[in-house]
Amino acid sequence: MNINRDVVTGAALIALAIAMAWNARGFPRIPVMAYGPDLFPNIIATGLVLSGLGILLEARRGTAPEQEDTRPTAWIPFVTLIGIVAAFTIILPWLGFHLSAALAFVVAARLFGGGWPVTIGLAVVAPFALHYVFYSILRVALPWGVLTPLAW
Amino acid sequence: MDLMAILSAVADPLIITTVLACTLYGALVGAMPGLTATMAVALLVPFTYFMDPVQAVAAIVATTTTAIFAGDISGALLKMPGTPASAAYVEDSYALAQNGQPRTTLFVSLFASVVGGVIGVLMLSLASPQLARLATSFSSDEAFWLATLGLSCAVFVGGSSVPRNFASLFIGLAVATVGIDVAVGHPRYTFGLDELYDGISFIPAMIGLFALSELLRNAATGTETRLGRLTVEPIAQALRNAAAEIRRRWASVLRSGTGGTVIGALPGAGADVAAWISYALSRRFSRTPEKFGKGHLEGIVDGGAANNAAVAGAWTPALVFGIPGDSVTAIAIGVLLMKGLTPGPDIFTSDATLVYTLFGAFLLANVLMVITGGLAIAMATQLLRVPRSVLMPLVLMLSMIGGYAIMGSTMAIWIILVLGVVGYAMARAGIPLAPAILGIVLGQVVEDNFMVSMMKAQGDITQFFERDAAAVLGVITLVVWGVLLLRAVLDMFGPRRARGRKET
Amino acid sequence: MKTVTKAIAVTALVAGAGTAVQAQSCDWQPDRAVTYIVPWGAGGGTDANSRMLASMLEQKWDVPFNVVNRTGGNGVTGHSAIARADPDGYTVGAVTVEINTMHWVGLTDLTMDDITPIALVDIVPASVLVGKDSPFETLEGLLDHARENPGDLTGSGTSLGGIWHLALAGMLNAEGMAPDAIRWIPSQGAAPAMQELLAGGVDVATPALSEGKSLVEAGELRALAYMHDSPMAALPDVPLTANALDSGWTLAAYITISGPGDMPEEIACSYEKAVAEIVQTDEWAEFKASRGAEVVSMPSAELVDYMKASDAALGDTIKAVGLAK
Repeated sequence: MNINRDVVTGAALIALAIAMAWNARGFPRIPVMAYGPDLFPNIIATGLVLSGLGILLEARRGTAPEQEDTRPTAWIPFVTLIGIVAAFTIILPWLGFHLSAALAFVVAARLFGGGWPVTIGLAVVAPFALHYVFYSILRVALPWGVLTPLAW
Repeated sequence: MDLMAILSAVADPLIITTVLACTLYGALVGAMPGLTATMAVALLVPFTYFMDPVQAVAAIVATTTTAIFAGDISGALLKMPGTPASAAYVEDSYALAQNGQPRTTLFVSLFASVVGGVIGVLMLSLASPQLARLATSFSSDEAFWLATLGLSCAVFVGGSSVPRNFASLFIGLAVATVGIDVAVGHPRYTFGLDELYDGISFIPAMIGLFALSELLRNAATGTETRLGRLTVEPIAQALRNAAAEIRRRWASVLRSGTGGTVIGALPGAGADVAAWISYALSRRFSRTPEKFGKGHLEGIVDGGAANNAAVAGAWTPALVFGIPGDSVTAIAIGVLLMKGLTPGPDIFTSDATLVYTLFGAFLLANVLMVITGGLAIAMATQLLRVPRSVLMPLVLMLSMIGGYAIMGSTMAIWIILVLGVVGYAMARAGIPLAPAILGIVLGQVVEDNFMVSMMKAQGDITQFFERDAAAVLGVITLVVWGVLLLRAVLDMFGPRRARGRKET
Repeated sequence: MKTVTKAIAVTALVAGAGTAVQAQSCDWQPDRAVTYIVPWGAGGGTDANSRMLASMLEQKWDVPFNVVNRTGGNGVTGHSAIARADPDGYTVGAVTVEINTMHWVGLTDLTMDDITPIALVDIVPASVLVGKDSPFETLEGLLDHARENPGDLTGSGTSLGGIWHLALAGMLNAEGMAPDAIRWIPSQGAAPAMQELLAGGVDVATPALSEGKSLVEAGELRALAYMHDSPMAALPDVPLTANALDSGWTLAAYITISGPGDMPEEIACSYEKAVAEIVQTDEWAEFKASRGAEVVSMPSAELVDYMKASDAALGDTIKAVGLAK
């Protein structure tokens, strides 16, 4: 399992490096100098390749560090959590903070094992409390979205 | 400077009340993820219009000092460092908090901050003209070397696997290349989104890499921990342990406080770099380096002392030359000007009272911070008593609002999401996070200064050694990196050794 | 008799208000928090002016004015955010001179047609600064050296193609030199550029004179010129480029308060009226004086003309110095 993990890691780093360097080909140059905005991306890409090779080498020699087992056993919660963040980001400007946050709280509280009373309580109270602290006290311009007519 | 004059300048009930109120306010803002010391001060500005100059300066100083410390609170409790300066030791403080010692950890951090802050003020009052002179002698050449030297800390703050530490550093540097480049203004890796022109800001990046990736890990690994509550030790015990810890490590505090002040005064460095360098040095010279990153107080002492000392250091170029070292002092200069005070070498003679007050306010803020910071710790740690089914959604929401607050745009939440997944993948692959943060913080500083220097020298690389200070810094940097790389190569290709014994 | 006088009075009032305002009553008021977008970072001149104005509008209208620093892309991000917002009066912003440079250098398609200028907040003329140990005592000396040794000297102040770059390159061009006779070294703003100048990293900097005021007064930097036609009250001895140069070159950045495009006239003129009242207060005057700036005001119709003229002039400069895309 560990060897497999390290092969994937090394390959991913090398792939990232290739993507960076490939993209950097089109960058313009500074007049009179032999390099420009592409210099650092290329250095970094080289570094990523070397690190990737190093990790592969470690795997081969069996000197890779042991690690705690963080293999996901619950894919559905993992994907749901990503979904909550993505959905919140998309609906925030339209639904406004209160509604978006309430929805996010419902799903997240259920996801982390909260019972319905806790979930409902959190979804009702927390958006107002957070809105009060961030919007009213700390002056963060949280969006109102469809609730604009009710805004304060 | 005369200590009595400093103290009498602030022995005024109005000033004491102001400082007390501002330390409370600073603690609130600093502890909120995504709200920085800069934001705290910017929000304070309208109130300073109605204050007299002494009071206004005291308010700004007190707010900044506490906000920088309070960044540690969300770092330890939620793995959401309030500032890049707190990020250096967040893995330690979070691990300790998870092990039932959140209060001890935070009190250690508080006491280290206070002592570091006091060291910073003392140095500020004794040597600010000299420090400012040093700071203004830094051109892009010196700044480049200093930042490159800072990058070498990546090797010390990471884990035991050399290629993984470097991989992490380069991932961070890769993130830092996003945005318009300084030399020709070409947008790189922005995917056509103008919101990315300014690059990936630190705060959403940190929230993603640390906080969201932790939440993802929690969601993905089974259900058994989801309903548990964390234990929180009694305050009295935490205070005793923390005080003992600081007493035991007084030499480290002194070293990091002094170093932090100097680094804080230098352009292109500031509190972040001060904390990282102190943490790395702490680990390098520790007798137990293997404990770092897994929940060790030693690094917290050094990092915590250094970043608060750096806050005082950053004032030197601002006071003496009117050149802001960071955005907080930039705002502060505006307030000083509004109060009819022009920063400059003469400010120490022409407005001596004000300068004394500034130092006095720093001192007072650091002392009163023990009370307000303690209060904040006591209240914030209650949060951990909340069931996880409530705590985790709150952390999630705070992450998203925090990102939104710093950029005023949902782009920040996308950044958090992407880097959250990256952070999770890195943890899975056994790649440490700390070097990546260092890369994000310093990547742009290194590249910008390199490009600026090269444009000045029209591509002649020897120019990096033309200036005396640059030559000295350059040689030090090259030697440090040379040794590190040599050791890395030896480590990779040398005889196999058992893991865990190879740490120096 | 009574009604007649009233009618005359009303006619006089409407006529007096001029054509720009027409029949609007200009008494719109926000009844909830307003977002005030600043395209530049906290601590800069635009930020300071805008925060002051925001806090005074807040007092006047008794609703919060929340300042948001939307930095990035040399001003593109913040300006786009202002232009794209809903023109309902609940989003305004600090549109700066860059609205007239960004589209010429190809950073964005955004122009001043996409926003609604409301009022002028500040005029910020550029300067020519050198270190205290610099061999150049006068602007003529500096320019002569640059003429004879093109590319020998370096200058800084902001990013490539930024307003202070145009100040230098435009001046060189107006004086018949290559725009890069003094090579431009980009920086992340005026403060780092002055740091470079102090450290001896560059030979000259051309930021706003107000930015360099403290250092000039402290004797750390020397101001060779003020790119304006009337002296700065705080530094009256700095020579004016309008007099000193044959070309009469001047360049000033400016800061406005503006709304999104197509803001209803009623809302725009209400803001204009409020700002006009604020700039006449002592508090505002004191604030301006503290920064070494003068109080400026301009009716919005005149502001639009001013910005149009600036757009054309900057466009010519940008094309002349070869930065146009």
